[in-house]
Amino acid sequence: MTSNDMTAVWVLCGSFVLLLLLRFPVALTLALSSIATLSYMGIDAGVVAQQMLQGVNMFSLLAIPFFILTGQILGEGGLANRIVRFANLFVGRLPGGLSVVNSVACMFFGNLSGSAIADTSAIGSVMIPVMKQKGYSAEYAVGVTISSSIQGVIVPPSHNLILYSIAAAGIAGGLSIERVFLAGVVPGFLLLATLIAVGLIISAMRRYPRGEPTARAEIPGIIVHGLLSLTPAVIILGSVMTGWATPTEGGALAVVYSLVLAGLIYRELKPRQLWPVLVRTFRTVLMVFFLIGASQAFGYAMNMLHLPDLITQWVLAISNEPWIILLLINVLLLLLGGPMDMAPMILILTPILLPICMKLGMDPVHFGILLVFNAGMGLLTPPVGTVLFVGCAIGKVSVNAGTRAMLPFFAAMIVALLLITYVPAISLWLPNLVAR
Amino acid sequence: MPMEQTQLPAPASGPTRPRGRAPRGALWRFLLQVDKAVEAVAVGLLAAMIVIVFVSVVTRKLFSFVFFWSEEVTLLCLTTFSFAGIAIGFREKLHLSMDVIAGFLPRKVNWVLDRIIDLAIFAFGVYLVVKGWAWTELAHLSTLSATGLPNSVVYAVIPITGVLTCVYAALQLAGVDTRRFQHVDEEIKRS
Repeated sequence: MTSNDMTAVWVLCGSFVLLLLLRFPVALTLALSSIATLSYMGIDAGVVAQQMLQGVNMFSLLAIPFFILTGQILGEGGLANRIVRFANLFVGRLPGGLSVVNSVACMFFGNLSGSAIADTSAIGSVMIPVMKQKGYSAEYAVGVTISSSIQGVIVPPSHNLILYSIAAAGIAGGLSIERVFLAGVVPGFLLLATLIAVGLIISAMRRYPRGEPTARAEIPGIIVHGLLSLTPAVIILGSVMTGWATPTEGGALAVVYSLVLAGLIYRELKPRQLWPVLVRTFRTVLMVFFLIGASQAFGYAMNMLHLPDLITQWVLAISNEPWIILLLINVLLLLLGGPMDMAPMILILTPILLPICMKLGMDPVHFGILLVFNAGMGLLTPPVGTVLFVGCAIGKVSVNAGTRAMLPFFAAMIVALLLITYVPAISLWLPNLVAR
Repeated sequence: MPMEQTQLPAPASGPTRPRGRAPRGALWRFLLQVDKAVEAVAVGLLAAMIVIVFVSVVTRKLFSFVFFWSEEVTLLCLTTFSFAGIAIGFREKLHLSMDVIAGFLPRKVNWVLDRIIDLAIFAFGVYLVVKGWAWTELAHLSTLSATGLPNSVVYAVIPITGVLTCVYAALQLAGVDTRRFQHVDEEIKRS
C-alpha cells in the first residue's frame, strides 16, 4: 500500500468517525466519507450517486417493506391479543405462566413483525398491564418483555436476515436466503428456551402465580384465530422453502393475506387506516434504504483501497486462535450495539468482519446469525437501547430499574450467544439438513 | 436541537394544528402542494409495488404468464421510492444518527452542530443535483430492455431528490420545522 493510499484510508475512516461523533446521520456520513475519499483518490465522486442507485436497485430488497407492512397491518388488526391468548393456552398454566406466555407471544409476534420495537410495543401493551395486575413487579414485566422481543430479529422471516443476505451477497459470492432463514430457527428456539428458563427460575423464587385456565368452549376459537394470525409467516417461509416464490413475492402474498384477514374477516383495520399504515411503513423503511444505498457506496470506496483485506490481515495478526478472534468480535459487536442501531451495524460491519470470519473458516450463514443476534442484543443496552426505552415507557418504570430487571435475561442471552458462536451446528444443522 | 422554529402546516387530516407561525403566500402554497405530491407518490409507489408483485405471482402460477414489464417497472418504482425516502427522511429528520456525545455538549454547541449538519445536507443535495444530472444525461443514450423507456427515467430520481433535499435543508436552516409525519400514529388510532 502506497503512502497515498494510506492517506486515503485515513480520509475514509477519519471523516467517517468524525462525522458520526458530530451526530451526522449515519447514511449521510457513509456517503460524504465516500465522496471525500474518492475525490482525494482522483476518482470521479459521481460514482457515489451511481453506487447508491445500484444499491437500492434490487428486487430482493422489496421483501423488507413487504414484511414490515405485513406486521403493521396485523398489528393494527388486533394480532397481539390473539397471539397472547394462543400462547396462554399452551404455557399459561406453568408456574409464573404469564412470564412464559410473554416470551412465547413475543416469539410469535416477532416472527411476523421482525421488529423488536414493534414486538415490545404490541405485546408489552397487552402483557405488562396484565402481569402487573396479577402481582408481577412492573420492572420484571418490562425486563421479560424487552428481552423476549429480541427473538423477532433472529426468528425467520426476519427482514434483518434479508438485510444481512444483501450485505453479504457480494462477499460470500451469493447467499441463499433460504439457508439464512433456516439458520435462524434453532438459535431462535435456543433463545426462547433460555428466556423461559430464567423466567421460570425468577417466578419460582418470587412465587409468581400460575395463569388462569382457559374455558373449554373458548379453546377451538383461540386455536383457529391463533393459526390464522400466524399464517403470513407460514406463507413467506413456505413459499421460500419450497421454491414456490421468492421472499419478495412471499412478502406480497403475505401483505394481501393480512389485508384480507385484518380488513375483511376481523374488520379491525378500516379502509381509512390503510394510508397511515402505508405512511408508517414508508417512514420505517426510508432510513434503511438510504443506509443500504450509502453502504454500497462506502463498500465501493473500501474496496478501491483494499481495506477489507487490510483489516483482515491486522485482525488475524492479533491471534492465530479462531476462538479468541470470535470472542473479540463478539465483544466488539456488543460494545457497538450500545450506540449503533441494527441496520447500520449489519450494513457497515458485514463487509469488514465477514472476510475475517471466512478466513477463519466460518460459514457466512453462521456469521450472519452471530451478527444479527449481537445487533439485537444491542437494542437492549444504553445509550441507544431503543427497545429498553420503549419497554420502560410502557411499564412506567425508570430506565435504571428496567435495566436491572433485564440483566438476568441478558446474562442468559450471552450464554446463548456463546453457544451460537462456538457450536456452528446450532445455526447450520437445519440449513444443511433441508437446503443442501 | 433547534432553538426556535416555525412549523410547516400538518396535513389537514392531522389531529392537531401547528402552533408556530407558518410562512404564507402563493409560492409557499405551491411548495406545500409539491411536497404533498412527492409524499403521495412515494407512498403510492409502495402500494403499486405490492399490486404488481402480487399480480405477477398470481398470473405466473395460475396462468403461466407474466407481464413482460413487471420486474422492470417494479425496480423503477423501488429506486424512485428509495430516493424519495432519502429526501423525506431529511424533511422528517428520520435518518438515524448517533447522539452519544450530544448529551454532554452545551445547548449552544448543539445548535451550531445542527446548523452545520443542515449545511452538509444542503451540500449533499447540490451534489445529487450536479452528479445525478450528469448520470441522467449519460443514461438518456440507452433504453430499458423491457419497456423501451430511456434509461434516464431511472437516474432522473437522483437530481430530483437533490432538489428536494436542498429545499428541505434550506427551510430547516431558516428555522422552519419541516416534519409532517409526527401525527401518523395518532391518526391510525383515531381512525
